[in-house]
Amino acid sequence: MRIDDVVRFSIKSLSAYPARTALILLAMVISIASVIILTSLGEGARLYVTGQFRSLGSHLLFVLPGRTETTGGLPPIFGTAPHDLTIDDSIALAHSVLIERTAPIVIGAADVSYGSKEREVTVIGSSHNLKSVFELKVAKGRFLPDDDIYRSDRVCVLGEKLHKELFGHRDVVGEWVRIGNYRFRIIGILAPRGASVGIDMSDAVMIPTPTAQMLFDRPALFRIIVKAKNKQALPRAEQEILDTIRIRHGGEADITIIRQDAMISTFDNILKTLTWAVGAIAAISLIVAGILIMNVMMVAVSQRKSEIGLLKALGAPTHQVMRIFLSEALMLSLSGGVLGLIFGLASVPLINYLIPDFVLQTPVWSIFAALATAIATGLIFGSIPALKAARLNPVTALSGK
Amino acid sequence: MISLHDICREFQVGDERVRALDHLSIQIDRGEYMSIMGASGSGKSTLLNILGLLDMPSSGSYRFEEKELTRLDEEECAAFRREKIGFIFQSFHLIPRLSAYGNLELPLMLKGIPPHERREMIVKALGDLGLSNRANHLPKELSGGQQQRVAIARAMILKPPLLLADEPTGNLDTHSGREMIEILESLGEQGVTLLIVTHDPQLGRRARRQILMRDGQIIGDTRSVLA
Ligand SMILES: Nc1ncnc2c1ncn2[C@@H]1O[C@H](COP(=O)(O)OP(=O)(O)O)[C@@H](O)[C@H]1O
Ligand SMILES: [Mg+2]
Repeated sequence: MRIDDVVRFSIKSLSAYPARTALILLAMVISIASVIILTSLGEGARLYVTGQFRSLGSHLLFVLPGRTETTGGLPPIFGTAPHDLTIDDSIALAHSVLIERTAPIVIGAADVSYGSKEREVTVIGSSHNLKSVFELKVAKGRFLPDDDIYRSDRVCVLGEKLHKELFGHRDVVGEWVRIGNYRFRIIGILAPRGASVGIDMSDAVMIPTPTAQMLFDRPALFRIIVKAKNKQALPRAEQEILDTIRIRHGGEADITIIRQDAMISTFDNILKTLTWAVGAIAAISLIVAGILIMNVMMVAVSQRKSEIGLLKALGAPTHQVMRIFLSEALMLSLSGGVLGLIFGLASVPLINYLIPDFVLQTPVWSIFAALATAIATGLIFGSIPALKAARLNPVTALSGK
Repeated sequence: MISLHDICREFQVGDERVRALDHLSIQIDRGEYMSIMGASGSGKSTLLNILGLLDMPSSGSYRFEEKELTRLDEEECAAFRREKIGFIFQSFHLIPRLSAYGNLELPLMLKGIPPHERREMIVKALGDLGLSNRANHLPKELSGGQQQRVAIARAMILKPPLLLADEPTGNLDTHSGREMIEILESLGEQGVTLLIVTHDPQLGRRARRQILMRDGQIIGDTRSVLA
């Protein structure tokens, strides 16, 4: 039997039972569409998170006080390092030819008030270098002063969100604001940008490092952010940082270094796995569709016993009968799969339009995976009824018993 | 053309073994017109099914054109049915969702004949049986006689040498029944070997050779009497 004849024969059989066919198609469409939508969701999350990390700036190293056994893991929780990280450490690290610049970081929370408005805000103590390290942009005024890193000026730069909350759209550069128990002059306001992973700069206030150390009465740095010259320099820069700190901290490199690219790839891997997982969960619904196909085909086989007997009497060999029924199952699953694909791919831009904050992105592999699982569903769940049909004894099949 | 020798066919029904054919032997020549009669359960259908390779004997030998058929595998049996046998059934066995044209197309599709070559064959087969204006009718839109004519056209479209009809008039009124037999007889005149199982003695007596069966054995054969 020619392939086109098998296909035409299957179409005629399927259209003879429209309600049943529509039900199976619906189940397939829902399954395949949810595979597409959920993997698009996962992929969207992955691109969003890795994008956020990248927006922090490129080829960064985070130097944390204290040591953990596994580099790239979490910073130490218990015990304090014998040696604090200092502004001097930060300057010393910047001497390397592999390192473009470094920025010390002190972090704390303090009440920020203006007029009657008061709020607890993240306060970041750092230097002018923070701007280039995190690729920050200043909307008004200027960033922290570039002259003397040890000077504890009472100046601050406001994050864009914080500025809007306290002052609305007013230009407040040059005005005074209270942070903790001190008055600070506002020297700049950051330009808006997407939310960052880690510290949300737009909702923070930045002040010079020594000022922050004084404000929080804490001499140690929270961490040092190192920007390497380029990506290739990262591993050697990491080694050099360890060497420098070992010399400066009396023979012990009591720090932990986290590479930004390692963080990105960790998150990337987690979210890739997550995408696969949600895709697989959606694919499980295909089993339901598959069982539906199997059931309906089983019913079809017993309803069409005499037809199967006739085909055999007319000289159809076993494998031919098998092909006819398998092709019906395959056409159900494949057309359901294609419709589901179209439906899923069409809903992704629709969801993106309705929820603009978060962009769904369909990974190419999921399209192929969805079609492949649709075909596999048809083949696997269709083969049992097809085999049953093919094995029918022609005499009993003709008698319809 | 056909030689059955010492054919037995047993069925296991529960604990019992039912012998549907009991050491049956018969020779059938090319172009013969033979009717098979006998009480219900005497083994007529079983004999026809074995001749058409829908069923295999438990023992014995079946030679068709000098070829032993009892050792054929499934695939070869199917090819034999396709090439050599036309079946006619009491209940027509037309596929309900296919038109008369579609039903006639089945054997041609199974043989792998391309669509453009089929058309001519089907149009001619329908015309021969006076069904030209019924090509696009579904079986349920046809009378019993017309349905059986479609079934005959389908059985004969590939011109098999042997036509096996199991009570072809069983579901028809007397008039259509006679008409049906006449159609089959005209095929016989064109050289087709005809084996017709029937309950109707009047129709059965029209055959040149008549066989009577009981309990899986042939108890009467007009040829052996004449010979
Ligand atoms: N598939 C089967 N299983 C069990 N017994 C069968 C089967 N087919 C036929 N028989 C038995 O074989 C005998 C002959 O049946 P059959 O050839 O159909 O008779 P007829 O066509 O002359 O009425 C009957 O006793 C019937 O019950
Ligand atoms: Mg019978």
